[in-house]
Amino acid sequence: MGIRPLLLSLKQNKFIALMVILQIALTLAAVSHSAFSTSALLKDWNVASGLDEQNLIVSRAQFFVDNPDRESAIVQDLENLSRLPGVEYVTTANQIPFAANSVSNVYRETGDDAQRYLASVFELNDAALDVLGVELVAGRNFYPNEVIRGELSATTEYPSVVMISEALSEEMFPGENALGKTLWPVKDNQPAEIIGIYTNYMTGEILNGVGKSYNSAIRPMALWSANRFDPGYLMRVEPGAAERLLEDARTAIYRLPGRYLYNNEVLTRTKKRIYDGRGSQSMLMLGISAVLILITAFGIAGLASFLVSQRQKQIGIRRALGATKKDILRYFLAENSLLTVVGLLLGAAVTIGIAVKYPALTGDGALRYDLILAVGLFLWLVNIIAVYLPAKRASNVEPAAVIG
Amino acid sequence: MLAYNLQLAWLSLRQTPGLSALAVLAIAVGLGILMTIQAQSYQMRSLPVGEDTENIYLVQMDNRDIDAQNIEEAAQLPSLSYRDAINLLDSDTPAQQQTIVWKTRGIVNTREQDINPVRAPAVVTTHSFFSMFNTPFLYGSGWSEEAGRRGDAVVVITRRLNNTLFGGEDSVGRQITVINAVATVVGVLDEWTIKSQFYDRSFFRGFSDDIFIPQEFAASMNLPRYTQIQCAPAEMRRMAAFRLGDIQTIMNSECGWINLWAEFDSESSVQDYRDFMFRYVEEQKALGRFPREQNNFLENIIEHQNAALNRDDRFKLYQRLAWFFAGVCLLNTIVILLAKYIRKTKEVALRRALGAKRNTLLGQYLIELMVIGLIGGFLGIAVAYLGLQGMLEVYMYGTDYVFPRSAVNQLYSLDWKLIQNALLIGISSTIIAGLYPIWKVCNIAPAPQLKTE
Repeated sequence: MGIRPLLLSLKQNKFIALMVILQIALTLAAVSHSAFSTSALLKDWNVASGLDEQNLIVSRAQFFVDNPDRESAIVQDLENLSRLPGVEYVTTANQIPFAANSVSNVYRETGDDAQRYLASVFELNDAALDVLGVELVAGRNFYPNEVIRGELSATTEYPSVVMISEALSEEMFPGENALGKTLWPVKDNQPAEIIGIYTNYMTGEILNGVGKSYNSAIRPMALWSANRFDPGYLMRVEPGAAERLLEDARTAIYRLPGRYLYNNEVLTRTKKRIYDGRGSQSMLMLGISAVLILITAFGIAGLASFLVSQRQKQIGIRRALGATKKDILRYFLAENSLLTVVGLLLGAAVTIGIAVKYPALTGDGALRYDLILAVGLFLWLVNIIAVYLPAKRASNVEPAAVIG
Repeated sequence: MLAYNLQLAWLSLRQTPGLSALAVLAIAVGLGILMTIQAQSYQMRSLPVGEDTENIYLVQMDNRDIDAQNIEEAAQLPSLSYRDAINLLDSDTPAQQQTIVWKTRGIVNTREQDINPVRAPAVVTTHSFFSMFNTPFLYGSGWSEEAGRRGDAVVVITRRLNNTLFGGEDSVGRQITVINAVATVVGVLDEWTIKSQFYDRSFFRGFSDDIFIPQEFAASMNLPRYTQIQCAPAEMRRMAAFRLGDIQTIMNSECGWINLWAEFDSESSVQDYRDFMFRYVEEQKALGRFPREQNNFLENIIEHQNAALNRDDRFKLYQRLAWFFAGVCLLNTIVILLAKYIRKTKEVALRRALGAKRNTLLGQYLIELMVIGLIGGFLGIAVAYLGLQGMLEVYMYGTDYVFPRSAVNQLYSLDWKLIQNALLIGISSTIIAGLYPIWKVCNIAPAPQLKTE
């Protein structure tokens, strides 16, 4: 069957053909834009955390009285917390997994043109790996005497050792053994020797957003600064004990007066927070897109059924002249596909035009041709399904019924 | 006659129930999605606080260095330095009343320290804050002008904080600790419905501030400045001192951090205030300050809010998508209505042949379209209601339920004006969508159609 009869027939229904084309074009443009945004939002969404977050608790408090004895507070807190039944390991922590929003550059060398490597630097103590429950892949753990504690401005000697994650090791030392190499945690400041490489764990939203979720380094230290910040505590607890222990941890922290507990939660909750915003935005976009596609499909189905009922006579004549049921079915599907293809081409042009002209308007996403193609193919499929029933009905028209 | 036409419209709808239902559905969904987004936009763009606050303006004067970048929009310009804010506040100005605002955080407890300390976001301001923004009081009232000036240790707390500290009792006269100082509660605010935190220019929607502290008292306690501070680049390294050090450091600086709000009773007094600002800056220039050309802004609260909204790219994306979707639904409606009315070709031909005027038929079909639009409109409002509830849920979930629902749910609500608009848009868009189809069917020549019967 050639394309000529299709075009001739569409000429009879120019307006309807135009409307279908426009509708498909607009649907493609709208759904593609939601798809751009969604794919950007869901990049690295909910990737493996590398942790048993359900067995990890964070408690962070801050002093509000003047000149408290922070050193002895830390010693006492560590003792009080590790004595709680159910708590297995405790470490001081400047930041915690899933919420590590202090991201810095680390270096392999000194100098102005030293290459930067993006990473979250965690300041923990010698229990770090036990608390996190990550495995040592190579090298050794910190010794207790390597942990440095002190007031920020009074500290001149920084830890001489550091551990890094597998991901950071691969990025900084591709194909090499990172053990024994030197790393500068702060540009041109005191370097540290890499003594251990551990399995990856999730850092936080910032690195997750740039696809470097697992770039981390651990330094054995706990620093504080008057009026600014106090280290928090990260605890590994027995399976199933986390929720129960929150209240105990709160009580333990409040045994020292003059401070305020501002964060006390199981890490599952912290984890939920980094993904939920993006996840729910995406669900919303996808939901609205689905409704839109459904409405378009209904419209196309309604239209096809209208065309079928309008052409009862022609169908009957064609059937009487020897067209098979299949021919009729194929005719309607081909007619619809022709309109769909023109609509999709127009829609793709509109989508690309908008995305190029107003890059800021694509939301969080960028123009992606593969997504336009995928959405286009999907719309085509939906349209074929929408047209199939009316077309099937057309193919069942009895030749005799209309001629009589 | 109308009843007769409505009856005809109803019969006609029943004739093609499938297509009529599809048309109604297309209108309802398109309108519903559009209204879901428009309702939020409308709610966000209305006054952030009660209707009688429309005469409130933010005072801004450009005191930055000569080599700083030019700023042409009020939203970009820093707030006032302490010196200028206090100078204007203490002057006899054309404004009805003025107040200053900056933000801090207090660690709060009862005097007896009988609960665990609570961290409370706090507003530092003057006595006129409460009358200017019409805050509702549950117990007591704001502090007096004299008490503010004397630096009395008094505070106003919110109902929420009052519940935490005092279990909801009337706490006027009771004492609380704010960090290391002791203060007396003089008032407890009732639920204060604001659409966003406009007063510190953050237009943040979420946690409400829990405690209101007089400026002089806050300065004497040296409360930290957890507020937007904008300084010359050379001053940036002193930021820690500005935030946490001695408050005199920032008070003596040229950094912008104090929001000065002024309320006016007439348009002419706004103009008078502009002249007043001009004269003030001239005086200060004579003292060697304000090195740049005069660049003052006195803009309404709503303009600042809208500027903040225009920075919200995600919402812009939603708005654009909503229009796209409504467009698709409208095209859909056109096609469905065309299918619906072309089916009537024979009926129209017959009625025309029997002497019905074209305009009579057009009129009848117009009424039918209105009925479709009206039903679609009502359904669209229902869709919008569901959509708004859904978006509220998504927002609550996405923000991990840390904000009270009452702080945000008004953004996701419909009012009579929105409902009225929805019905109007529903009816008018159905008519627009149906014009071509009914015009086409009414213009068909009767004879050829009847011949084939």
